[in-house]
Amino acid sequence: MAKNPAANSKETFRRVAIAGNPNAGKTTLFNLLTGMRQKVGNYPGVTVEKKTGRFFGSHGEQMELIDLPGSYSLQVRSPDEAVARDLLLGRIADTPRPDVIVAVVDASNLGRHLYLVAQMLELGLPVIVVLNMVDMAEKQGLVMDVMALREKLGVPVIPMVATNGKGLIELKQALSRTPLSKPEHGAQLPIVFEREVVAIAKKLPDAPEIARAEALLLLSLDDAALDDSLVQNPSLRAEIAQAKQRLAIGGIDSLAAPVDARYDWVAQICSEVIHRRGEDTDGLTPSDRLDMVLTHKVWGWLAFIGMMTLMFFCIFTIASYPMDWIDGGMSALADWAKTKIPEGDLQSLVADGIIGGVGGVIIFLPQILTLFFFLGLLEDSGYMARAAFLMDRLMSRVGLHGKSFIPLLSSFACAIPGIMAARTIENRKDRLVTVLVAPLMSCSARLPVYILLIAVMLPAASAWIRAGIMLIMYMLGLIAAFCMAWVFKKTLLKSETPMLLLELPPYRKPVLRGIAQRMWERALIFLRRAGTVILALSIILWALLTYPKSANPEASESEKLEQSIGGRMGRTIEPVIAPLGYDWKIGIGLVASFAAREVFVSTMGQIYNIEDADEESAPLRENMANEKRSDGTPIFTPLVCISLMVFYVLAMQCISTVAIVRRETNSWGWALFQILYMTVLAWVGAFVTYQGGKLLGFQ
Amino acid sequence: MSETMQTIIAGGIVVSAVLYLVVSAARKKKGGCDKGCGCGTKPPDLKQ
Repeated sequence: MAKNPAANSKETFRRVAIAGNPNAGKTTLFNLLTGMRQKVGNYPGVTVEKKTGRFFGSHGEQMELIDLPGSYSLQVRSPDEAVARDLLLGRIADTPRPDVIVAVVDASNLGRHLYLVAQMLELGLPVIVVLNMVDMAEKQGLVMDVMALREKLGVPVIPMVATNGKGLIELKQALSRTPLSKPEHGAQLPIVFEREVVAIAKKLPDAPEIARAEALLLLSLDDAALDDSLVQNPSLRAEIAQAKQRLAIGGIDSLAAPVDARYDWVAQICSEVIHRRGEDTDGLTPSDRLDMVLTHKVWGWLAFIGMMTLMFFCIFTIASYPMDWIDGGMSALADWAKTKIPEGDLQSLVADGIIGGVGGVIIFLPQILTLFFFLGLLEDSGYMARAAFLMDRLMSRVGLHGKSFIPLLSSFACAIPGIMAARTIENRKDRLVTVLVAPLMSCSARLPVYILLIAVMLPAASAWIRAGIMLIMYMLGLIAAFCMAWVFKKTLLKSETPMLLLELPPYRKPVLRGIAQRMWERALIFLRRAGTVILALSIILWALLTYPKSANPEASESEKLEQSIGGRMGRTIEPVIAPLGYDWKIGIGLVASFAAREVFVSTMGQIYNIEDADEESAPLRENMANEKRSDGTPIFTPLVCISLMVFYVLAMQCISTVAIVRRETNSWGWALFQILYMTVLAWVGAFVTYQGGKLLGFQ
Repeated sequence: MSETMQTIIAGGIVVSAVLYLVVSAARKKKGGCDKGCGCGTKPPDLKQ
C-alpha cells in the first residue's frame, strides 16, 4: 500500500469527495457547490479526470471538493474506477484521503446505486448520502421513506435535486457538522469471512480503518486482479491465498461472499424504504416508452439520421446570418487596413496574411457554436447513451470496444479529448485501435473546410441539400473509422472484444445555462487558437507565398505566387496530387494544412486575396468558384470539391493530434504509422472519388 | 513609410511567429495534460 506523503498536510479545511455511479449527478452537484464549469454527465465515463474546487460550508468555513470518476464498485474494472478507489483509500501520492465522502445516488434507481454506498460504508470514513433526483423518482410514482433510509444506513441522507439546488442548504449543514460521525451500519459479512479480514488487516502497514477496507478488498480479488494490485510482499500474498483456501474449505467463495452480503443488505433496505404510489399500470416510465422508438433497430436509426440532418440544416441556415456579418466585417477591415497602411509588404501582410488568413477561419465560429449547441442538447437530454447503444451493435461487429463510443463521439468535437478519453478502455489493444481511428471522425476543424467547399460546389443549393452532403461526409468518417478498426482488429491488434455494459439514464430536460457555458468555453478555445497558432501559421504562410519576389516587376499576381517558396512547394507536389484533380495552388493548401486542417481555408483566403489584390474584397467562395485552369475550365468543379472533402475526411493533418497520440501511446512508431496510413487512405479515397467520378461522366 | 521599412517590420513579425510556434512546441514536449488545467495527468503506458 502506498504511503501518502500528503496525509500530514497542515491545511485545515475539510476535504470532501463526491463519489457515486455514473449518471448519479455528481458533476451537477460539483458545479452547484463550487460554481466551476464542467460537463454534465449523461453517459457513462464522462468524468475521467480528477476535478477539484473550493466552496464554503454553512458556517462560512472553506472546504475542498473532489469530483471522483463514476464507479459501479470498488472492485475496479477500468483505470477511471481505479482512480476513485485509490483516492478513497488514500493511495494517491499527491492527494490526501478525503475527510468525508458525499455518496450521490439516483433516487429513481436506488437499488443499483446503493451497492457502491454499501462499499463506501466499509471504508471507515464519514459518509453523507445525497438522494439525488427525488423529483424524477416522485414522477415515477416512487415514495422514499428518507427517515427509514437514514436509520438503515446509519448516516445522514439528504434528499436533493442538484439541477435546481433543492436540498443544498441541508447538505452544507450536514457537511459543516463537527465532528462528522462514522458509519454505524453496513452489510453483514459471514463471521468466518470477517475473521479472515481482521487477520489480514493486522498484517497491513496502513492505519486501522484503512487496513480493514484494504484487507476486505484484497480478500475479494481474484488471482489476476491480485497480481495487478499493489501487494508485492510475498508473505502477505501467501497469507491471502491461505485465507481464501480456508474460506473455500468452509464453503465460502471469497469473491462472491461480500458481493452477495451487500446485495442482500441493499435489497432488504430497498424493500423497506421504497414504496410505489398508486396503481402500477404497465411498469413503463416515459423514458422506457421513448426508448422503444429511439433504440429500435429501424426507427432508432431513422431518428438518429433525422436528428443529425436537422442539426446540419440548422448549421447552414441559422449560422449563415452571423457568418455573413463576420465575413462583411472582415472584408471591411481588410479594405480599411489597405487605406491606412501604404502599399508594400506590411500592407500585404496585415490585409492578406493576417486579416485574410485569421478572418477566413473566424468566419466559421457561428457554425461551430451551432454544432456544439446541438451536441450539448443531445448529451444533456440523455440521448447520447441511446446513440451509444445503437452504435454498439455496429461497433461490436467490427471488433470495437463499446467504450470506444465516447472517445469517438468526443472526436466529433476534437480528436484530442477523444484520444484522451480512450484511457477509460482497460484493454491495451482495444485502446490502441480506438486511438488509431479516432481522428477519422470529422472534428470541428474540418467544418470550415466542408462548408467552404460545399459553398463553392453548390452556391445556389438549398440548406437541406448542403446539410445532406455534410451528413454524408460525417458518415464517411464514421464508416472509415469502423472499417479501419475492423482491419486493425484482424491484423495488427488481434484480441477478443468484451461486451459493453451500458446504462441508459432517464431522459432529462437539458440545462440551457450549462450548454451556453460550454459554447462560451468552446468559442474561447476557438478564438484563442485563431489568435495564436492559426495567426502564427497565417503569417508564416504569407511569407512563404510572398518571398522570394519575382525579379520581373511586370509579372502578374499568379506568376509572383508561382515564384514564391509556397508556389514552388505546390508545383513540386503537383505530380502527386494531379491524379486527384488538384492543381498546384490546392497543393499549397494541402501542404500548409498539414499543421492544422482549417489552415486550408486561410491558405485559400490568402492565395485568392493576393491574386485579386486589385479588386474589392469579394467572398472567398466566389473567388474560388471563378478560378480557371490554363485551358479555361474551372478548377473547383463539383468532382474536385468532393475529392477534396474526401481527402480532408480521411487525412490526419493535425500536428496537435500527432503529439497527443505520441504521448498517449508512448511511442513515435504508432504516431508515425497513423500519419502514414491516414495519408495513404486519404490519397486513395480522393483518387477513387475523382477518377471514378470521371469514368462515370461527372465533372 | 518606406518600402524597406515595411519589409523589415513584416520580416520581424514573421520571425516572431516562427519563434512563437517553436517555443510553444517545446513547451508541449515537456508533457502533462494538454488542457492547460495544470492537473498533470499522465497517460497510462501502452508499452507495458
